[in-house]
Amino acid sequence: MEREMKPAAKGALFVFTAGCLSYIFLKVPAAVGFANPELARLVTMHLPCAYVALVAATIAAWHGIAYLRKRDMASDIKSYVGAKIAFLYCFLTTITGSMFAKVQWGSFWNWDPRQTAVAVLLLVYAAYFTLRASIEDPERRAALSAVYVLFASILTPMLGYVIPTFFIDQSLHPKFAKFDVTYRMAIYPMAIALVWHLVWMFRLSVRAEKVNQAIAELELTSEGGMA
Amino acid sequence: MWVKETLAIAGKELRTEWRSRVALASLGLFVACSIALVALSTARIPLNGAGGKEIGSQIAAALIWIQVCFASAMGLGRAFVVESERGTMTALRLHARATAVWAGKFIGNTLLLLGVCVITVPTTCGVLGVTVKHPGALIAVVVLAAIGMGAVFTTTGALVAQTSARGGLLAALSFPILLPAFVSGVDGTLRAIGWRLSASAAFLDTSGGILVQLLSYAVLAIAASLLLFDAIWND
Repeated sequence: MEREMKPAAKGALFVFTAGCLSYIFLKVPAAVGFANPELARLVTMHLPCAYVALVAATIAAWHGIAYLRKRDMASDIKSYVGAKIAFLYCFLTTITGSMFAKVQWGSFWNWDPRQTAVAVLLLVYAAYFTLRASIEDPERRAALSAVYVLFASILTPMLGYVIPTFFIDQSLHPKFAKFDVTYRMAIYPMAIALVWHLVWMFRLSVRAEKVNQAIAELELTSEGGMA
Repeated sequence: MWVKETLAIAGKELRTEWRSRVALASLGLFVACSIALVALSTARIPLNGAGGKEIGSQIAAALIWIQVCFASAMGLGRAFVVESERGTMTALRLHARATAVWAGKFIGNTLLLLGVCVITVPTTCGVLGVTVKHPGALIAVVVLAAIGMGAVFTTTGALVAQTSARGGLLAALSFPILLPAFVSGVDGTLRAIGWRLSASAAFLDTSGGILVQLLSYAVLAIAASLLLFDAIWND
């Protein structure tokens, strides 16, 4: 079983997150040069969400490799939970990005390469959940899901990073963003806070998923006994 | 030995397809119907003027790849499903290595996909009155995109063959992964047609990057498939 986060660690996470949010709302200045400088602060939430989505996607792929090497069901559960968290943070990145795009560029959706890439990742994880739902045998489900999540993890960075950075000149996103020190002081601690939340959510979800699978196995056994 | 096994499987794929012609018939019919729909739906759009030519080239680039994608989703998923239905998976496992099976199926699928492109590309351009300024570049774009798409459809087809929901799952699993090839394919087709490029501009100078994108995607798709196929095939 995954260890539960200790109460002191939960308290520290709460205080750290509250500190980050207070800094963002009270200290970060409006960004000069944007159409709406006050609301440019949204970037301090948008960028950390994107970082956490990337970390969760890496966790899903890493545990996918671990499953294929060791055939250990615990790795499959971790890969699945990583994919669920990646889906959630891709969704949050899309929402915060669309709000930023609306207030700064006048439209919720601009078909920008990076915007499209996050939407594609959402589709990839939706397809991954559909694939899992369509296979009943747990071991086959684990192997095929691991293959799909790895296959997607190798090919989708082409759209999200390689093409926008090296081949497309016109993009609303900066290629290599350089932030002012006040913004860096908000973005990086917020990213750390969200990664900390990810660790908490990951442990909780893995434990919940293990319990779910144990219940499903018990139900199958009792059905077999009844028959 | 590996090459022999691969070519034997590719030959078997093409022979069995030629005998039954199931995929060929469904792909051919789909392509014919979609071209008829394109011709009928664009008949009322004036595409002969200067502005019309530009609209025609944009519509052509998008429609070609939409037709190719949907035709592939209809026809290319069968390669492994057929083995599963006929109960010949075990025989294949005994006679060839996993990577040779994948490579043989990939060659068969890619040739089928190129066949679809050979019909779709000139007919769609003809129907929309589009003149291709860089035909060599268009061929390169189509071949590279077809190789990448063939690799993805072969791997996702093998995944889908092991599940209970085969119908729409192939498109759902493949389309998000195919998007980089789709985007570069549309972009490359637009530029090969000559959209917003002067006739004298060399394609490689202005748009060579697109060929690099398509080549990298194809190499990545083949490498990833060869690396992961063993886990699907021997599971």
